Amino acid sequence: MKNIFNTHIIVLFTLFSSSAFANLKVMTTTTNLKSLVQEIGGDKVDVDSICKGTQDPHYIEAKPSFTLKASKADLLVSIGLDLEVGWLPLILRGARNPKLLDGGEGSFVAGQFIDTLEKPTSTISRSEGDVHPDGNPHFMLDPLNSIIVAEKLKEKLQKLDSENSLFYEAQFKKFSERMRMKVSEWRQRIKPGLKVITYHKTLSYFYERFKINNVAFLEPKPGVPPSASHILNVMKTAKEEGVKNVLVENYFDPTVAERVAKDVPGLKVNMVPVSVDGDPKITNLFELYESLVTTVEEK
Amino acid sequence: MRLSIYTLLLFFIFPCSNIFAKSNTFNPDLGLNLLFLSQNSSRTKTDDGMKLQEAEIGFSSDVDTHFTSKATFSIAAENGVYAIEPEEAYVDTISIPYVTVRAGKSKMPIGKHNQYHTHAYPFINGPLMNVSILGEEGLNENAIGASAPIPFPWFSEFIVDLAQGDNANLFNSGKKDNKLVVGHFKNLWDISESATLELGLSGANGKNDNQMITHLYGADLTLKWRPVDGGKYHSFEWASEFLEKDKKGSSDGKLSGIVSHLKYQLSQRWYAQYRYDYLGLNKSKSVAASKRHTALFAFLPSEFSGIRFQYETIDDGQLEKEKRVSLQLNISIGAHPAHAY
Repeated sequence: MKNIFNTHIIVLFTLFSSSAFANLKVMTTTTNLKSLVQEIGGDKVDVDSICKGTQDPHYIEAKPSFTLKASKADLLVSIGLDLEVGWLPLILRGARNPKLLDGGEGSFVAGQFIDTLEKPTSTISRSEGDVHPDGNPHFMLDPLNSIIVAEKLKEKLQKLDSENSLFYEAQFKKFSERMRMKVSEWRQRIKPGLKVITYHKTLSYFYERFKINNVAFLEPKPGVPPSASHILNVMKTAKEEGVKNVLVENYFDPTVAERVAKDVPGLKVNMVPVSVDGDPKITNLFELYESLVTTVEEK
Repeated sequence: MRLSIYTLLLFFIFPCSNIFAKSNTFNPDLGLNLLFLSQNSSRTKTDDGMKLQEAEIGFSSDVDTHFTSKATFSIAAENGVYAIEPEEAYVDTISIPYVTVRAGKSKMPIGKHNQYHTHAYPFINGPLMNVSILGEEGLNENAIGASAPIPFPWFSEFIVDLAQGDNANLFNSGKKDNKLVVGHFKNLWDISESATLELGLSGANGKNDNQMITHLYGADLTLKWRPVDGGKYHSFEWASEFLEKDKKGSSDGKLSGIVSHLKYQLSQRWYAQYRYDYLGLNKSKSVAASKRHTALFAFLPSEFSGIRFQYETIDDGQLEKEKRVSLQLNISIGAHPAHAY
């Protein structure tokens, strides 16, 4: 009788405490953030990203299935800086999960820890295209920024899941040491002052880190498709500056870039993934940065 | 003397400017939508010409830790006279998990189109069945309601509203104790990473001006596709709705219709659309069956502006079909919350 009673107690205890062993459910807005959570969280977290690696994160449709996932999440990791302002609030409203709201215990906005580039210096308006009032939100493309965000993310995970505090600390140490080592190696491979042309202002932080000089954008203004006259100007600049490389983020149409390359001798168009899973070969942040370095380095 | 006046002013201006800067922080998000329309019809000329079709002023903000609020005011002309009306003004709870309670004046969850604001209509005008059955303003009521997810493996939500029932076409019994109940059951499946299918069922019951019951039934089915690769440049939508009223006590109290539209994104900023309306699935004595074909081309330079050209032919049983050409400029300034999926 006592044995049966004890067995019941053990079973009940296991059932009720099983939630203590369940992984932290994390939702991220981009695949770069998802990769970062996986690096620090390891097998202690279940993480999913709303935006896919081949999608433009500015323009995601707030599908109700995302709402369903968000309703079950313990933590939402987002970029902020108005990158997701067009769709994330709708998902959160439908999720009815108050802790994920801005400032809540389940909210982590990476952008608030970054000293952003391209902060507007005067009053801005939409006549300048798709402008971000708090600066360029694509900061995850600077490998050293990923370390800054990783440290704050580690602290957040430790707060939400203190039992695995030491694990997260060790994961962060491993990640930051490896990333710093890789950045030194990448610096050796890229000649400072290298000239490129890009479609959109996605790679500003990558260029700043590795002293790459972006001489023109294919977009006349952010979010505005290239016009014929603008393309002619870009071709002229490419020839004058001796640019060898045009980088087009892989969610844009390569046709325009190919038209420029046809007219400029020695100019190569590269469709570049700027997000993890943007290409089947890019499964984590290290592989993403490596692929960008490989694209720009002169062989 | 002059120096001391300037010093005194400076002493007050700098701290005051800080106060003003701080007081702006909690201002609501403010947005304005403007719709300009130019129309030419072959038969009914009353709405022809150029006009400000509608201006919508929207405010939204969190109220406190419990509520968020949204209000939209619409300015439009009726018989040449402009008037401002509250289109929606409500609060939603934000602190209650799983359930959202809404109180205020809002568009009722009957089908999908009834909940759209004019600037978000897929076409320049609404479906024939919505205008004819629900009225020009749709079913828009003072109500208290709740919505909650249903724990199916797919996205599923149930919404129920207890409304005053002021709609003159369908309810409005004259006795304020008589209330209207509205329900909507929404389901959405991810068919693949690129496609979703939505099925909704709606219903409403309330006393009408004959002191009898009006039943309202609706169903909606929407297929959407946007490829994960290249989704910036191509997408597709096929949406259909059915609506039926059964207003007891009226001689032509039964009327139903369907509407179905296709929307194809040709490139980053160009869209081609087609709509078919049929009103009069139940044969009604005083309202002849109507059929309408609509074709529309849209150029959307950004998410804040759009130019739309629409051509309609309406067959309402008369000898000559009505043909109508419309050109609309649709712009948005200020805060612009995302539309529901």
